[in-house]
Amino acid sequence: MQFDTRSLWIYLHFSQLQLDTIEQSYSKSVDQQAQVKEPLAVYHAQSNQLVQINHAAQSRGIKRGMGLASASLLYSNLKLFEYKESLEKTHLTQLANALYLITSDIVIMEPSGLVLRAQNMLHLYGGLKPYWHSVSQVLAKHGFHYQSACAFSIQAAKLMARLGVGIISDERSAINTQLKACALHASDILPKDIEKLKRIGVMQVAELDRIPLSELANRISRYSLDIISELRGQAPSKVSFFQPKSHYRDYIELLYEITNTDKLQPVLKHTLEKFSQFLYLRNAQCLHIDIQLFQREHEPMLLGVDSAMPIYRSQDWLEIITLKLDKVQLLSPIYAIALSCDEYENVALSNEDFFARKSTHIAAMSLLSRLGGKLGSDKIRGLRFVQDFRPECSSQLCDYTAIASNGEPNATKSAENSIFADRPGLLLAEPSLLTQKVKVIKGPERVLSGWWEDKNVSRDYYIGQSDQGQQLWLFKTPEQQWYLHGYFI
Amino acid sequence: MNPILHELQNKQWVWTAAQSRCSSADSSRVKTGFKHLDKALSGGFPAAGMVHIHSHLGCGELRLMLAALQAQTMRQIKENETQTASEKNAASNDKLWVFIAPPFVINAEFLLAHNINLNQVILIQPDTYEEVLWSAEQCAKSGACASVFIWQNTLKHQQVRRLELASLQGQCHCFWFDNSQQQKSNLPLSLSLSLTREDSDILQVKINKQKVGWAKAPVKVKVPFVCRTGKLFTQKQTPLAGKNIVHLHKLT
Repeated sequence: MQFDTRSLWIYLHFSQLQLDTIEQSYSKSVDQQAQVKEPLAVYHAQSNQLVQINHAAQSRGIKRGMGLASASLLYSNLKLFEYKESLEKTHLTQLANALYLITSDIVIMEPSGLVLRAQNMLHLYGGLKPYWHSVSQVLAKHGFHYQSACAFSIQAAKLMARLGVGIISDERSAINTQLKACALHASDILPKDIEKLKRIGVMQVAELDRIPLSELANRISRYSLDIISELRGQAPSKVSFFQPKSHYRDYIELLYEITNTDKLQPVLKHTLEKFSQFLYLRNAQCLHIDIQLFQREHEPMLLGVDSAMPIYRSQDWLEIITLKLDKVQLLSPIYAIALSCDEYENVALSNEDFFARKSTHIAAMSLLSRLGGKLGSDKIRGLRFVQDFRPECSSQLCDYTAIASNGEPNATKSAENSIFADRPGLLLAEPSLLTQKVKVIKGPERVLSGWWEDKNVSRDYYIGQSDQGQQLWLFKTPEQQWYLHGYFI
Repeated sequence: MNPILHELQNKQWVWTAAQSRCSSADSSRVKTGFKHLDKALSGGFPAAGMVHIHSHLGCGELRLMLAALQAQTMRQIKENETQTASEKNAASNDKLWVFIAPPFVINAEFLLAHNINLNQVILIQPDTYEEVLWSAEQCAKSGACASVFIWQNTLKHQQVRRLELASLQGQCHCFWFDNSQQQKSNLPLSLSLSLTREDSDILQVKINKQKVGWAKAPVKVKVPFVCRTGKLFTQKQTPLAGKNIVHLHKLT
């Protein structure tokens, strides 16, 4: 999409996104003071450079751009993390998601920048100052280091933000004076073109401005030329805006490998809080989430977690997941976890009043989720009545979700429909041969059914009583064999 | 009064004999439907808590209580009932009946005959003994269940206590059916009963333990089959036969 050169843009440059996330998880997991003092660095293997370093490392003389060898000479216990572009991208997307709530047009500049189009928000917020205030509040909540800049073209804002000289202002003159002092090497202009410009004595934006574009055209590449014209505010920028995704994905790399599922709790809690925030903002709830546990030496383990009732709160999810985790056997240590949710539903507005459906329904649903989580949902069954004369066919186990939906019509049929109420409370799954002495106290009742299929039943039922006073349901087959089929509890 | 005794009484750890007499009129007790038994139990079953039933399997142990429990839920519905029908529906859908690890399959027809909505019935079949206890405790304290039924022969003192507290917390009944031989005493239960069958209709109920109340002599209770066909024969046919006889006599 193209934009005129009069739009005001804000560029946010996150200089050490990966390091910030690492430090944050440190302070969450372990004692804060002890850990962050430890020198940490993010290492880019391809260029053999340290790309992000923390304060503690800086104080030991380690500098950005150093090689691994020289850094280790300065401090041998330096903790290194490999640079991961994908990780920064996911964090940028998360930030964009958070910012999307307060601003409309966001561009993700991979790997470490976000651009906000401020122009169309100024009217809504009543000026740049209140707008920037709410943006910086969101940023502060995430706690990443960032450098910001305001300009009338994306490239100009980017250059200033990268150099850390940006100002938040909508005065063209102030921005221009700031821009003029900027060195070109931090801009997107190709390195070989920067070299060429250097040879003709152009190092800063101010010097560049003095040369007309047509003169530069035969010296440097087309790509760099576009950037220069954008820098001058003569050409509009071409960007595509961020659109929030409709499904939820989260991936967290653990600081140390976890072998015990109990230790996963705090990490999961943190992950679920983010997830519940996501749902909360969309006024949504969901029934199912997937959790993936990445194991060091085995295939990732996929845990599907179900709730009997749509929920969004992290505590509710955590409760179910904890029960589920109790049963999980880890084959090898976990190094990362991922949470995903593909489907969520909007919370249906209900106009039931507060007292009509008392909280027992919610209690029942959460009870069922808990039980299903711990024991496995196949262990929790509902009961269904089928119109059949054969006793073993009339009671059927069904999925307990039928209870959740309350939609079984025949389950509500009461005793009026069953004429044969003279039935025991407990039925043997398979009738067993009668082995004890009984006295017949009622009967017979003949059941002849199922002749149209394999389960042919031809029995005379009696109620008997044993010497211990047990009341039993017995039947006699045409072959004069006696079987025990139930207990009158 | 002795301050220590006073404190104990406040905590409801000590009961006075006078209290037991008042509590026979206590409306929170669940009427059993049998006059003698109500009297012996000072008004009926406790409103919530763990009830231990020691009997052989199939003595009518569940039938003894089902009617009372059913009546209790109906009464609760009535209490909550206001004018609208929708609310009534919602209320009657309320509480669950949970059967945990029954020895055999629960018969749906039997429950329907006792007017229990099958939507409210849940069967749990855990693999292990620990899971049975865990699910019983979860169900009992959730507040979503009307009654929880477990079949176990061995429960330890501590486990019984946990279940008792859980069912008090969730305001539900937890019925523990036990058909083992040995007698159990000193368990922290709300009520403990021993059932033995005397005759085809009559059950002898011995109260092993109850909170609030004296030791009582065993009570005999008639627990008939809920037998529709049987009723037809006994109630309708005999008077008819009698009538016919009278008619015959008059004719002659």
